[in-house]
Formats: sequence, C-alpha cells, structure tokens
Amino acid sequence: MDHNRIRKKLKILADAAKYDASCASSGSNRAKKPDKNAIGDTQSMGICHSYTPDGRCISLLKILMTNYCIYDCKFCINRVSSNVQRARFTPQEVVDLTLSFYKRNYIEGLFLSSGIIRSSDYTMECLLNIVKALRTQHHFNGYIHLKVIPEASQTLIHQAGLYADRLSANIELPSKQDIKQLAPEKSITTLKSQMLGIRNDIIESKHDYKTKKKYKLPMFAPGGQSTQMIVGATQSHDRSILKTSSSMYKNYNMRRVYYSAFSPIPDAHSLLSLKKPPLIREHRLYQADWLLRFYGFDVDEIVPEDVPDLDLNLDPKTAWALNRRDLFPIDINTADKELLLRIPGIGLRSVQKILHIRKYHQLQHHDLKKLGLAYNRAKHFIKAKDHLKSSLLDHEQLKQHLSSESKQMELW
Amino acid sequence: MYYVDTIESFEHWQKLARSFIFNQISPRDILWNHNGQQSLWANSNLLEPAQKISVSRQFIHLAKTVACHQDNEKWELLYRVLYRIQFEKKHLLHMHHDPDVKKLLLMSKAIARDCHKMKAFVRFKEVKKKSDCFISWYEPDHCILDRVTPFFKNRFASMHWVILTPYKSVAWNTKTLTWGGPGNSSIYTQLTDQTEELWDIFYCSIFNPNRLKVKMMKSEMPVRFWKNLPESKNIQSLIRNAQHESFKMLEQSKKTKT
Repeated sequence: MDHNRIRKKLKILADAAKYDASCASSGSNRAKKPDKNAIGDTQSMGICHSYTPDGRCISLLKILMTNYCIYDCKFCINRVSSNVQRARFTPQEVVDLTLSFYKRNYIEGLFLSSGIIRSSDYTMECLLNIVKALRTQHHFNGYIHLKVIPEASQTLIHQAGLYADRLSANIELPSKQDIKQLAPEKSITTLKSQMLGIRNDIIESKHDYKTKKKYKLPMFAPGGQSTQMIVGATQSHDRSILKTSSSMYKNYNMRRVYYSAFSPIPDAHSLLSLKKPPLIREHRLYQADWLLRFYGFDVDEIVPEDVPDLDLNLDPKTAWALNRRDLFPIDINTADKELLLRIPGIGLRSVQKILHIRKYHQLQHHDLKKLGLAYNRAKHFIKAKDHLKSSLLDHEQLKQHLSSESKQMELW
Repeated sequence: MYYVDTIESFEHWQKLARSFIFNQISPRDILWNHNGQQSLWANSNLLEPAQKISVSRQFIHLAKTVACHQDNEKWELLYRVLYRIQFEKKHLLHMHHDPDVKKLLLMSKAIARDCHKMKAFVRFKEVKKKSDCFISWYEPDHCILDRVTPFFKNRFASMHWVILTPYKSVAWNTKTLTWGGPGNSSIYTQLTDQTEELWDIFYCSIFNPNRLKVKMMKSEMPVRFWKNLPESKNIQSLIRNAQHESFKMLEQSKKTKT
C-alpha cells in the first residue's frame, strides 16, 4: 500500500463521508462459511470501535469511493458546484484499507458510498466490483454497508445485496417539494421503487432461506435496509419528517431511519442558511422514532396537526403524557404492558422488570427507585401499592417542573 | 463458623458452594476470603461431601459471569443469593429491586461491558509483514481474557496473534491457542505500525467539528482506555480546534452570500 498517495485521498474521502449518520454494523447474520483463508465475522450486535469528540461511534470505515459528482444537491458537500478538493480511490486501495484496518481491529467493516460519476449504473457497478472483490477474492466476512446510487438499475442492486450486509438509499428530505428544491436531479419515484425492490428481495431471500433451506446461497442484505433524512436544511416540520419515517417503516420494512442535523459544510450553497446543527431536535426525533417503533405510538399522537413540531425541552413521551393526563395515574401493579410503556421515564427494559417482579410482589414507590428507571419523572404518572403525596399530576406547574428536570438530566 | 481461603476459580467456588448448600449452611456462618488465618479444611470434616444440586440455568450463567469480577466480595454475594434461592425465595433473581440481586446484576453488567469494550478497543500492531502476525497489549478492568478470546479466535482465525494483558496472555497460531502468564507492555509500545498513521487520518477526518460532544465520547470511551488507543492522541487537538473550524465555516458562508 502506497501510504503517501493514500494519505491524501483518505483525508478527502473520509471527510466527504462524515455527513452520513449511520455507522451501524448490527443486525446481520451472515453465515460464516468454513474457509481457512477467511477473515472476519459479523455478529448480530455490532461493535463501536472508537468514538470521536462529536460523540459519534466509529464502527465502519466510512468512505466515499469518489467525491466527484454530477449531481447538484444543494445540501451536499460533494455537489458538482461545490469547490472542494476531489479524489477517487482505486478498488484495490479500498480493499487494502479495509483489510488492513480490519486486521488491526480498528473497524467492523466497510461503509462504502460514492458521488455519481459518468452515470448511476457505472458508479453502482464500480461499488459492486469493490465489495465483490472483498468477498470473493479476499474472503472478507466483516460487515459491509453499501450505499445504493440514485437511479441505479434494480439488476445491479440485486447483485450488490448478495455481497452487502446492509443497503441504504437515502431519502434525505421529507417532502416532495423539499427534494425538488434542494435535490433537483433526484426522483422520489425512482428512489421509492429502489427501496421497494430491496424490500422485496430481502423478503424473498428470507423466505427461500427458511422454506427451501438454501443455506449455502448468500442472503440478500441480511442486515436490512436503512435511510437517512437531513433535519433543519428546509422548513419542514417534525410532523412531516415523522410521517415520512413512519411510511418508511411500514411500506419498505426499513430497519432504521437516521436523522442527521444539517451541519454547516464548506462552500455551502446560498439557498441554505448555515447555523449550528440542531442537535437537540435531532435527539428528539430519534426519541420519537423509538416511540413509533417500540412503544406503539402513532405519529398523530406525538406531533398532532395543530402542534407539528416536537417540544425541545421535553422528551416526546412526557410531552404526550402531559396532554393526556386523563389516562393517568397508571397502576404499576395491574396495568397491561401497552399502558406501562406509555409512562414517562419508564423504558422497555424497566417494563420487563416490572412485569416479572409483580408476579410475586406488589411494587411500592421505593422499589421503583431501585429499578434504574427515571423515577423522578415517572412518579407523577403512576399508582403503586403505597400512596405518594408529592405527585404533581393535577398541578399546572408539572410541565415546568419536568422541563427543568430534563434539562439537568441530559447531556447537552 | 466456616472459614474459606482465597477462591481460585469459579469451579473452586462451585465445589464449596455445593457442599455448603447440601449441608444447609447459612451465609451468616461463613467467612469468605479469610486469607490464611484458619481454613475451611480445619472443619471441612464436619460437612457432608459435595453433591450436585439443582440450580436454574440463569443463576449459573450469572455466577460464571460474575466470577470474572475483580471484587472478591463476589463469592460471598453469590453464595448468599444461591442460598436464598434454594431456601427462601425461588424467584429471587426476578426481584430486580432486591439489594443482593441488584448488586449481582450490576456486577454482571460491568463484566458484559468490559468484554464488549475489549472487543472494541484491542488494537493490533503488525509484527512482521507478509506473515500476518499481530500483537496487542490490553488492560481490561476484570479477568475477562478467557471470555473474550473465542471472539478473536473466530474473527481473526487466519492470522497469527498475541494478546497480552497484565494478568494473563494468549496466543493464536491459526490452529491452537496457547495461554501464558502476565504480559508486559514494552514489546507492544516499542513496535511501530505504519497503518496507525492512516487510522489517525481517518479518525480526524470523520470527526465533525460542528457537533462537539465531548461528554458523550467520554462516557462511551472512558479516559482510562485512551493510553492504549493510538487514535486518542488526536483528541485534544481536535477539541481545541473544533470551535475555530466551525466558526470559520460559518464566517465563510456569510461572505459568499454578501
């Protein structure tokens, strides 16, 4: 490996890749073939090998094959009209970097994306050849997350999915108008048909694996597909973002939707006003996303039409509960699981613990304090075996009280 | 009163615990870690010989995990919980609010976290080019090398590697594992590996100066691990320059607009 040449390229092409939020290496179950020369494995739970001072994890070698691009998406550092330095890795360089990082236990694998050069299909084919070389020539069994190039044909995507653990096509913006304005070359229709194609391939491959026992065949994207939305580059409300997410989960079996607070980029387009990235908003969207996926909430409950944005001072579950005080207090010893999940400050794991304990023991307030849940938030919304005098459920200042508590609690 | 010397291993504890349980000895009548003063063997003839007892799989799993913990109180705690499960509360392990159970689960969580961090933070240096020969020095919080080694064996099956820790070492030659005594960091620290420079470049370039969240980084990658992570030498300067970098970008964009 020629270090001097690679040093320069790596600097440019890692820098260009950092606006993609995902670095997950989880959820895959790529079966390990018995192969003496093989290197690596993937586990259902990914590993974060390092953290940078932005608090983000490094799990994968996240790079672009090239940051040359013929598209002109306004929010993107790599758009054709941007004045950044350009570079392109050769396939061999990507392979060498991945393997030498992997062997030193720096990474779980590769997250490969690219600007679009010549044509979508040409670019997709280049990416495909790199991952194919890693898997077949170098017997690499680590995690591979491959970006699907906009407008690339379904045939190429189908092949790519046989080598990659995860595929992702980024929707980037929540509404048609946003996309039209900021990503004029992108077609939402083609994007959605790509996502649908991936979804169908995943379902079919899983089905074959189970019913026809085709264990020897490679699975199609066993780590599923994900997508990303940029937050704060346009005026779109959280409601519109979460509606889009919800449809992504429902219609395309998305494993994850990532939210990326729009962050100032060098040589930004004049359409965009540069501000500090809205990190708290991003955090609230992730919390809301969890409520949609694991807590049985509906978008309309979290961001109703008349209040289309999340409260930045309160987690979305608490904000919802304050408006639905009629449902509280919830009896911790008798309420069913669905209701327990709706109590502010009590998460999935705590609910599991409560369900176990109460088979044998009637829970009191002091028991709850020991369960590792956010008791100071939860206490106002629950009924336990003993009575709590200090519940503010019926007081007006509860919202204020919880907002200031949440400010102290979180890492901001 | 029963006195117990230093416990050597989980199996050692298991043998003792079996005979204590079989003879229904209350945890209050046992003094653990009673180094050298009076040993169990002085009164072991009072006990019936060890017999197998039936214990839930969940407890065994928990006990084997907690056995790696560096806090020697674990043996006493494990026996107390075992005793309570056998003679007082069959479902004790579900009682997450119980102080003994809570402590045990916290210890087990600490082990799981330590194992996870070891899988993440071991850094290999290449010893010889071409032969795929690597070495690492790692300082875990607990005695977890045995638990984590299968992970490295599986992942890096085709490589030759050595992992040295302050209490134990292990080597893999693509076919067998060889265990050794306490390691020494000097071989590792003296070795230079050119690839570390590329890793530094990647680490610095993937960082976004507009999203500085140092606390978050430190909670996931505690400072005590930094000294063996090559990339950590960049952290101070990245933090120091972040504000300036971010300011520069915002200023630049204002200029292009006016």
